[in-house]
This record gives sequence, C-alpha cells and structure tokens, in this order.
Amino acid sequence: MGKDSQLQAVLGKDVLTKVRAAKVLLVGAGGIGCELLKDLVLMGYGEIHVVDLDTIDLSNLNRQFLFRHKDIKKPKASTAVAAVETFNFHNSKLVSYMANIMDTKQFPLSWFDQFNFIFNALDNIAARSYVNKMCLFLKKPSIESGTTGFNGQVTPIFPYQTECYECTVKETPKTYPVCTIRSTPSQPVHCVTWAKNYLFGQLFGEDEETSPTDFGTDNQDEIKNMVSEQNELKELKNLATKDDFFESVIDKIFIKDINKLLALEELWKTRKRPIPLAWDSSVKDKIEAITDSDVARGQDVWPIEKYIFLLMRSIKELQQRLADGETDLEFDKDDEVTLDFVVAATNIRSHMFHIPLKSKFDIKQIAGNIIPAIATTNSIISGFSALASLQMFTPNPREGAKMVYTFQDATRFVSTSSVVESNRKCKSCSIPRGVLKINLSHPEIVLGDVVDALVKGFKYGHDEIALILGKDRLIYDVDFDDNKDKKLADIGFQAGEVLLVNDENDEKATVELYIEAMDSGKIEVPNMELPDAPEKEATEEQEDEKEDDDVLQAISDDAPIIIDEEEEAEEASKKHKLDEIDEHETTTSKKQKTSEGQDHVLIE
Amino acid sequence: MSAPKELSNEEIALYDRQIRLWGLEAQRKIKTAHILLINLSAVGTEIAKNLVLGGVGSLSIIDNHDITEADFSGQYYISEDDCGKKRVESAQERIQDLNPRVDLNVFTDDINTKEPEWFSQFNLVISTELAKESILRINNVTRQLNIPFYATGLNGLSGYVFLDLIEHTATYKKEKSNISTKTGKVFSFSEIVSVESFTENNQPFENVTTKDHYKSFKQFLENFNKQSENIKETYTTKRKLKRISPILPLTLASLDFNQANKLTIDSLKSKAVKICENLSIPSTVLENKDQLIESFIAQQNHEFAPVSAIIGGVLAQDVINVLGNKNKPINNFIVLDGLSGEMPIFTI
Ligand SMILES: [Zn+2]
Repeated sequence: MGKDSQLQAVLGKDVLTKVRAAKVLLVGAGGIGCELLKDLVLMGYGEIHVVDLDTIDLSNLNRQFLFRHKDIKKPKASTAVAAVETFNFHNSKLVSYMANIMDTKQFPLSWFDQFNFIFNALDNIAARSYVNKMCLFLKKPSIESGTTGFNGQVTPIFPYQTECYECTVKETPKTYPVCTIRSTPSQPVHCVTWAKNYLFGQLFGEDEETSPTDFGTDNQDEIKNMVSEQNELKELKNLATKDDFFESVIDKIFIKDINKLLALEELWKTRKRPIPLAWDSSVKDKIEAITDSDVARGQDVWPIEKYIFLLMRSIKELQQRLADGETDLEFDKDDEVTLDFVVAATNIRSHMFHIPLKSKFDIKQIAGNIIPAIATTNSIISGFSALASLQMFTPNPREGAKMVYTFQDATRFVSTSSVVESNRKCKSCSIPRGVLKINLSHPEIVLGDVVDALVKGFKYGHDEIALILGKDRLIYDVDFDDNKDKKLADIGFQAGEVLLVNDENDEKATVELYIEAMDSGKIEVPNMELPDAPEKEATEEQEDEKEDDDVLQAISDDAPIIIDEEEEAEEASKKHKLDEIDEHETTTSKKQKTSEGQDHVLIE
Repeated sequence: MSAPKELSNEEIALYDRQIRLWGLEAQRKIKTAHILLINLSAVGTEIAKNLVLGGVGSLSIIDNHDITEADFSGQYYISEDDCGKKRVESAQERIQDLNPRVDLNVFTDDINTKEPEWFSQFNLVISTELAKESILRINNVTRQLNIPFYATGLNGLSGYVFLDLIEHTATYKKEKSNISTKTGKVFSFSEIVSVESFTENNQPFENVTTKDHYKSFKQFLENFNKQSENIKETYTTKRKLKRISPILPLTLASLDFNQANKLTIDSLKSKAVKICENLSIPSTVLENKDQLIESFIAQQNHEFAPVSAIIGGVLAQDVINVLGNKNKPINNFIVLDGLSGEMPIFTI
C-alpha cells in the first residue's frame, strides 16, 4: 500500500493524477491560509505558491496553527511552508513569498497565469478586489473564502460567468457626524472615535491642515466652537515638550472645553449636560496612590481615577518618544502606550458625558477594529474551500460549483447553493478586459501611436476616445490632447498599469487593458471584439448608481463583512481614518469622480 | 467540573481573538475541562489541534495503533520516520508544542480494555473511528458518569458526528425582533427555559437559554431500526424529506453494521432502504445511487484531509460551545456530504 492509497481510494486515479499535476496559488497564510495549506498539501497538490505580506503576531497563535511562539515576528508565508514540510507526505513543491500580492513588479499578470486556479484566503478588501481583477483579466477561476467569528463562506468564481468578488455590495462601516464625535457623544464608540482619530492625532500625530467641510449640524455656534477648539489644540500641541503637559491637557480638554460646550445651551435642551472633570486635591491624592499594578487587569472596568493615572502615564511616555526624536506618532492597537492613551481619554470623556465606561479589552476591540477569529471556523471553511477545488478537475467546473456559508438551524450546519450568474451591473465584471502589449523601451513611441493603434484595433470608426491611466488619471480625450506627442514613459506608462479606454460616442463598451511590456515591435492591441455600449438612457441611470457604489467602495475597505479575520481592517483604517474624517473624505472622493465623469474603480 | 480557573494576562493576550467571541467566563470553563480523545485518526488529529489551540485544561489521547503508510493522509502530527511506532507517541511532542499550557497525556493501550472507573477522571469523551460495539460500551459509561459524549468517523468524502450530551443547557444571544422569544417547548427534545432582554449600543437583544434532551447511542440505533417519526419534527415538509442526502441512510447503515460482516453494495443498500422506510424518508433518496453506494464502500475506512478538517472543526466547535454553555448545540447527528457540500443535522 503506497502513501497515496487513501487519496486514490477517495479521489480515483484520474482526479488524483490531475491534482498531482496542478499548480495553484494560495494568497494569504493567515487563519484560513494555514489551514488551507495543510489541506492542499495532504491532498497531494503538485505545486503550491503561497504569498503573504505579514509577519507573525502573538494573537495569531490561537488559530494559525502552523506558527509557534518562537516564530513571532517571522514572515508568515515561509514559516507556514516550512511547517507543512514536516507532513509533506506527497512531496508537493512549495514556494513562498513574503510580498504584497498587489506588487505588479514582482507579480505581473503573466505570473498569475502560470496557475491552474487561485485560492483567496485574504484578510482585506483591497487585495481581494485586486486578485479578483487579475482573475478577470486572465479569465482564471478562483475560490474565495473568508471568516469572522463563527461565520464563514466559500465562493468559487468563474470570471464573466458567475458572480465575482465585486458583484455583491459590501457592507460599509458605520460613520458618525462630526458634531456627535466632538460635542455630543452618547455611546462609548463615539468617545473611542474621538480619542483615537481626533485627540490622539491632534496632539501627537501629523499636522493636518484640513478641517471638516461637513460638521453634521446647522448650529453655527456649535460649528464655531468646534473650529476654535481645533485651533486651540494646535497651540496645546506646541506644549507637548513641557513638563506640565499632562496638567495642560486635563485643564484644556477635560475642563475648559467642556465648559465651553456647556455654554451652548441649545445642545443640552434634549441631552443630559456633561460634567467637567473634577480635578481637585482629593482626586489628585487618589491618583498619587495608584501604581502600575493597579492598571494591569485590562478586562475589568476601573474607577475613573485609574484612567486619569493611565492618561498621565501614557502622556509621559509619548512625550518621551517625542523627546527621543520621534515625530508624527500613530495609533496602533498593539502599541500599549498609544492604546493606553486612547483607553484613558475615552473613558474620561465617557465619564463626563454619563456614558458607561468600557474595559481596556473592549476599547482595544473598537479602536483596532478587531474581528474575533477562531481555529474551528477557519478549519471548517478551509475544508470547504479545499473540497470546492475538486470541482475544478471535472469536465465542466462551473456546473455543480457550490457556494457554502455557515448558517446553523435545526436541520443544517451550512447553507449550500449553486454559484449564481454574474451581476450585469457589477463595475468589475461588466466591462471587457484585455492585455495591451507595448514595447516600452522603444525610443519613439508616443501617446498618439497608442491612440491610433487602439482606434484601429478596436475599429471605433472615429478617434473620439478617452484614456484613463492607473487609478483615475485622465491622459487623453478629444478636448485634451496635450500628451499626444509625449513619450509614454513621460506620461507614466509602465508595465502593470491599467489603461481604461472609453468610447466618447458611446457606441462601443468601455474596455480595460493591462499594460504588458514586450521586447520587440511597437504596440499590440488585444484581438477582441468590443461589445456595444449599454443603452444611453440605461447608462445614465447606471452611472448614478455606480457613482454611489464607488463612494461606498471608497470607504468600505475595512468593512467588517466576512473577511479573513486578524489584520482586521486595521491597515485600511490607517489609510482612511474612519468616522468623522470619512465624512470629509467621502465628499472629496465623490467630487473628484464626478468631475472626471468616470466610474473607474479605485484600487489601493 | 471544578471551579473555573483564572486566566493569566499572557493567556488573555494569546486567546484574545476567541475571548472576544465567547467571553472570559467561557474561556475559564474551557481551561477547566479534562477531555478524553479516543484515537489519533485524521479527524482525531484535527480535534486535538482545535482543542489544544482553544486552550482546554487537559487533553488525554488514547490510541494503540502503530503507524502504517495509510496514516499519511490526514494525520499530520505523526512523523514519516516513525513508521511502525505508536501513532500517539510519534505525534505527542508536536501536539504539545502547539500550546504548552495544555496538560497533554497519551495512552497506548486498547480503549476496550479500560474499566469504567478509568473514565471518571474526564468530564467529556470523544471517540473517533470506533465500531458500534465500542461506541455502545463507552457511551454506556459516559451515561453512568453523566458526562457529554461524542462519536465521529470519516468515510472518504463523507463523515458524521453523533452527540449524546444527555441533558444540556446553553445560552445564546440574538437580536430581538418585534415579538419577544417565548419560553416553552420548541421540539420534543428542546425547550426554551428563559429569555432575558437587554440593550447594547441602543439595540435590543435577548439572551435565550435552551435545554436539550439527548438520546444515548443505544436509543439512537433503536430509533432508526424501528418505525419512527422523529425526523419529521425538524424536516417538516415533503420537500425537505425528499431532499435528504443519501449519505444519511448510508452512514447510519454502515454505523449499524457489525465489524465482522463485510459490507457489500447489496447489504448496505438494503439496510439503507430499510432505514429510510423506518424514518419516513422517501425511497427516492436512494434511487439511481448505485454508483454512489459503490464509492461509499470503496472509501470505507479512508481518510480525506478536507473532510477531516470540516468534521473535526464542527465537533471541536461544539465541544467548546458545550464547555462554555454557549450557543445552540447540535442535537444529535450531523453528516457531511462532501460531494454536494451539504452538512445536514438530524435528530434521531
Ligand atoms: Zn462582478
């Protein structure tokens, strides 16, 4: 009996031979990735490439079972691969990359093409959307998976046939009006948002000139107060090197600012009035008696004095960092000092506004967008993803491909259904795609040559096309031909960029092209027939909808829908800064898009 | 069970992502558990991994098998160099390495030689890949000791879990709808004993406490060997009954076979048909399924990693829920049909 006798009995010789010959990509070596890699190796997959950008953290170890305490800070991808080598019974070839899957230099489109199909075990929406798009360019099947807490889902995707990752609208994170955060909080989350995104940033972060455009209120006195409060914070920031900075913070933030708010009588007609922090000798005496060990149990809610102590301690440590030359400090949930500051400021503010206090443990979850994650769900979902991959070896994989998501009632543990057809309105899979090959080292090619080649290749019958390069940069249209004689490198053409070609006469559909470098010749337009553009009237309607979608998309990077746990959105939230600031960003991104009249998807 | 143990700050940091799901109290209860796992099969390996990661107080694994080449399919903690040695001894170090806080014990004797008294040191027993007679004997012991019992096994692309929690109370949180959840019987085997309303972030929620009654493995076998309407309680329509996976009667039939008798297509099929009749499952469920029955038999005693991961995940999750008295437990039989990707639950 050979080592693969079990596999042969279960899969049959034919399928096993195909599995042994298959080369697959696994994107993500986190919660699902570790489990899936184990399953794929035990199934005898021929060659598995694993990509993950991350390093291992203590809080991964409760479920990312290929990692040990001694592996903390090591790269996930190579550590996972080394761990499964101990049970690589069928000698699968394993390749690991500690890299960002969105790095077009390391992973050009042609690199993705070497795989039979792709397993997505990612934890963030940006990378998922990106891989989804690469699969659309290559018409390559993928299996998407995600978990959060007890829930999870697996979706096989067959590009342009079945629902892609972008076909369904993603849940958006909750945002709060600026006035709620800054003058009238009523829930713990409002105070966390204030402490993390406003106060910490204003006192220790990067100088930001921007001020919100929408405060979420019409009360002019309130707006005036918010503006002057922010200006005074800048003055306060300048005192950060002084010995009595902590006292200045208490005096300004927790006493004077509250008194100013109290003066705005209008605000307190329907709300309970806040009470400025009591800062007298009896409170100071209590704080004097507190020691570090009194603030060690983060799972408990403490009396207010302990939070004042914690604020004092964290401010002193942050001051020390500034004194050591650090600038523009950033909040990080795993950086105890910044977390302590946010915890303390949150609860002192909650205390003043009669909002229940939260434990450090709970505030960390809110501030860090932490998504609960467990071994068992990852094990189950990875198992379903691995099972779904067997479908890829049948003569018609799309037939019989199943989506699975957790749904427990008295008669079932999961809900299983056939994959559904792609959404015609999907901004990703409703437009055709191709590869545009350009000899980028050719010294003479100018943008005009590209325009001519596209007009000829796609048989527009006119030359009124618009070109958008990369995320959203208009480089050419009928009224803007300044770049026509410029060299491609000077406009920013490079391999891995995406070029959107739009028929200004609305006859043919918009097409998205992936730019690939070639060594000889000049320009090679993909040999494809462009379908007609959607009906004019419908288009306008669609445009509106799409714009809205785009705005949602722009802020939904860290939507806590089912994503592979862990990194939780943290990364994305750093970039976007949720809550009140989103208010502002949302408006801007909408404006930009409408002014360019494009429905191009933004990808981080 | 002894009193819940305190958790250190280091443990709270390590178990952070799961404590956020089931709470500190449940994590403390998990730490108090003494679990017996019988056989380090593929599914046994998955269960051991999940429970050790979850932070159980102590895990004892009993397995008298020597490693053969056939084990190198789902048993990823054994070493290739240890062929011929005891499975559980080969895997012990790697399992312990997963989480040094867990008190891990291994035994290499035959479970069938263990006296009932020996089991009294555990407060939960999980058997994997055991034949009917052994399951009956062990379940008899767990009933006497009044402790939860699980039995599981794989059959290639399919697998099952049987649960006997005797009587189990659990609380789960749900969003409150317009109508409050009422106390009282939901099914003959399950009732809601209390409902407590509360608000969280201005949203109304309810804590619903349920009490479930379970059948022993002996009663379970009896129930599908005689005319029974049990399944109809949860499978309320003809359509639902018609859509039942053929894997259910096949799994039940193979579970009920004596090890001595060799399974054949005919013997398995006639037994499965009889079970359908007994349980009021339409005979169409097994129509034109000869090929499936053939491969079911061919896959007997074969382990397949993805199925093992799913079944081991479901079982370990339920154990953790049961230890923490959280969520609705499964009552009392679940099968995975790996071909269709369905995982139905039956109360038999
Ligand atoms: Zn789509």
